[in-house]
Amino acid sequence: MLSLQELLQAARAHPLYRDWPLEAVRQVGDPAWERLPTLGREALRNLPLPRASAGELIYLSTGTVGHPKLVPLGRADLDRVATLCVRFGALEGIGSHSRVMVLLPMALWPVGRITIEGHRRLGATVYPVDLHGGIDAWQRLVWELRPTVISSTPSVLAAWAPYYEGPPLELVETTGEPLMTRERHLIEGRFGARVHDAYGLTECTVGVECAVRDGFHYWPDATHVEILSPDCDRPVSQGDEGEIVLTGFQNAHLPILRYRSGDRGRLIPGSCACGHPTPRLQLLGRLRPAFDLPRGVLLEPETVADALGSEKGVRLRYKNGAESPAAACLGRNGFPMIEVAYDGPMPPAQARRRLLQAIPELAELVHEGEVDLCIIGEVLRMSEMGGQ
Amino acid sequence: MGLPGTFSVPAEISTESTGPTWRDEILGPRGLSRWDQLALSGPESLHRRRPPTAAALVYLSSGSTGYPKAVAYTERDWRNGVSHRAECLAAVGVRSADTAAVVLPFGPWFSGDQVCDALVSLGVRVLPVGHYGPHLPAAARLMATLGTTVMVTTPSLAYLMPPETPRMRLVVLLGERCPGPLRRALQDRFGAEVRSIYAASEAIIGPDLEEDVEAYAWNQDRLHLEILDAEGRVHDRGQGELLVTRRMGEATPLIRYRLGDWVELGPGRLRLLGRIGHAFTLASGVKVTRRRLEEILDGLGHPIAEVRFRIEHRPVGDLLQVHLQSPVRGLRPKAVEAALLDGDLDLADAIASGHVRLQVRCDHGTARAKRRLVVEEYPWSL
Repeated sequence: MLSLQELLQAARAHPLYRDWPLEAVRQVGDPAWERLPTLGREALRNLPLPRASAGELIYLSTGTVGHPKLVPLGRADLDRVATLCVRFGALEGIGSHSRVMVLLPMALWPVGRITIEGHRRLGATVYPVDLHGGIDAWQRLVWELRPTVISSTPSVLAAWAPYYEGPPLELVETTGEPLMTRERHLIEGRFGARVHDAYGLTECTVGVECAVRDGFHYWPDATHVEILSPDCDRPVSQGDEGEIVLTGFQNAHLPILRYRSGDRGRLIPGSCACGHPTPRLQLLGRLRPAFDLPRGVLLEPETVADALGSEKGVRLRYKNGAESPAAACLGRNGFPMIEVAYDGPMPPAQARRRLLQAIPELAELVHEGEVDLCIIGEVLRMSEMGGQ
Repeated sequence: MGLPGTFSVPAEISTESTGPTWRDEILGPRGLSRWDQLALSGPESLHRRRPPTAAALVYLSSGSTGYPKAVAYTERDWRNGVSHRAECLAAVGVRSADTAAVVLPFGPWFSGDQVCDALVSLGVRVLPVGHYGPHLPAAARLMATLGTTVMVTTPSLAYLMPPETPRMRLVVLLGERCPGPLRRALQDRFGAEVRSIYAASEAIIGPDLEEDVEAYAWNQDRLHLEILDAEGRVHDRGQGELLVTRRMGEATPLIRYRLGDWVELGPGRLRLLGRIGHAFTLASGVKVTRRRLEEILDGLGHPIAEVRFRIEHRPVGDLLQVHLQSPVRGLRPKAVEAALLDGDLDLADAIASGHVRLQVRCDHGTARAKRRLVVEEYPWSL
């Protein structure tokens, strides 16, 4: 991992931290550190990327492409994140006996690549499988590949669970979105293996559950976690709930210092029953309303507003289940539906095109029938037609 | 026939390879001293083989048969693959100052990751795009934002790139042969030099030649190439099926491996003339063979008198129309569609990615003594 001095050196050279008083910082948590500002997610939007002297990979952070958050990772950065994932795998019990099917997005998002690299270094045999193709393809591949571990997002595994038939598994790994207790039970019941969840952002990988599964273990040499008040840069009392603020010693191409994750959480006092000495973090949800769509896609109102150029804002509603009060309005195909209302003169058909072009994750979900997209104007027109 | 003096397979792999095919089925007790008596290998040897325990990564290749073949890499294989690809990319003009977009499959079928690693090793800034249709418009705008100068992709995907795709300096094509008219169309559309690298999932061969882009070179320190002629004889040069021996390869050693391509092999250069048994190529470089189609039709359990596969490459994606005629009524298009998708994961993936639209029609037809299979491939409407 990067040392603090290496991280500060990288930060001093980066436009994000041009005005930050970094010179006085001697160690994490000292008074000079606590006087540093925090970094908001907005700062990463439209960030000019200084050209690195060495090669690098440019990945996207979930949720935006109209004004994307781009995250560059150099080869050494990727190595450091993979090293952290090796620790995750070792804590879970993955080793050279394991055969890991990685059912995560590849290409534009780094989570699949990092998972492949980490497991590969543990000596496991790794099968990279993208999400495309759907349940039929996954089901067929699971018999072809006969994995002992499946690594995916909770929503993908929850969707697959009712149909899953496959060889016995050692364990299931989830990442990319909050894992609901109900999903954990469903996945464990159908896949016949324990679920280990991992927490991290594209910008900064954080931690993983051990067998006890009481919070995420994280490694302070890789990630420094602070819990601050959502409204100011002051720490909350020990053990209290607040915004998770991250410093990553992983990426020199995009140094991450005191980054406000937008997630709520608390540090868990005391040591874990598993005996592992690392500290633990409990994730409690999102600070601001955003929509957790299938496959780990997080749709934020401002992303939709940006895509539609709607200054007065948008209203989003996600109708995602038969038990929802809005069930009667579920989409034509009975799929979960994202309902978008907006102010402005743009015709609904154009708004649909703009949203699907600007937010590829949304386009993917709509294309593959995971969700229906409903633009309010379209619904009105349909009801008018129905009335004739 | 002789082997070049630089041949170093025994030192590299004979003591480390765990693949049973290498030792037990190909080498035999006599070792490499009797090269010309070694048996040939082919895709069926990959079907039979379980990935060796030393493998770190296993990708799939099903282009020639529709059945997944495991193409495994150890750590050292991966590094060798990266350096070989980097060598080819440098030879076709990729430079460290470039920003490259990689528009290739990253899933189980092909290692877009290895191309990315090769580009990064050359000092290039890389945007790994993938090949998924719904992502391409946004990715094309990102390519413009980042000032992309190079795109690495397949000819079909290059053709399908959305209008937002910026003009650039260089387009590097992989995965399938690029017909001359398509090459010229891509040159005009992207304002770019168009170069190719000849590579399959199992083996990277080499870059095209600057003075003759229809011909390819290869690094003799990495590969030994031969051809198998129509009479079943092996030669160092001439026309025939390409036989590849890779000098380094731990998890998936290739020795006299029939790649399924018909080539003209000359001193220091080769020309790719076509695929053997090839039926048609789908966007993203998926190749479907007649044999695979026949097997899927066999599996329908319904007599088929005639079947016509019509693939049309359009700017918005491929249209695959399947028209079956059966002397017995009751064949349903949905059943045929399901058999095609279930029988060929590549095809299913291409459809799920939004690059191919499938239409199936079933009619009553008169019985024939032998099923007639017609394939019509309409090239890009240039």
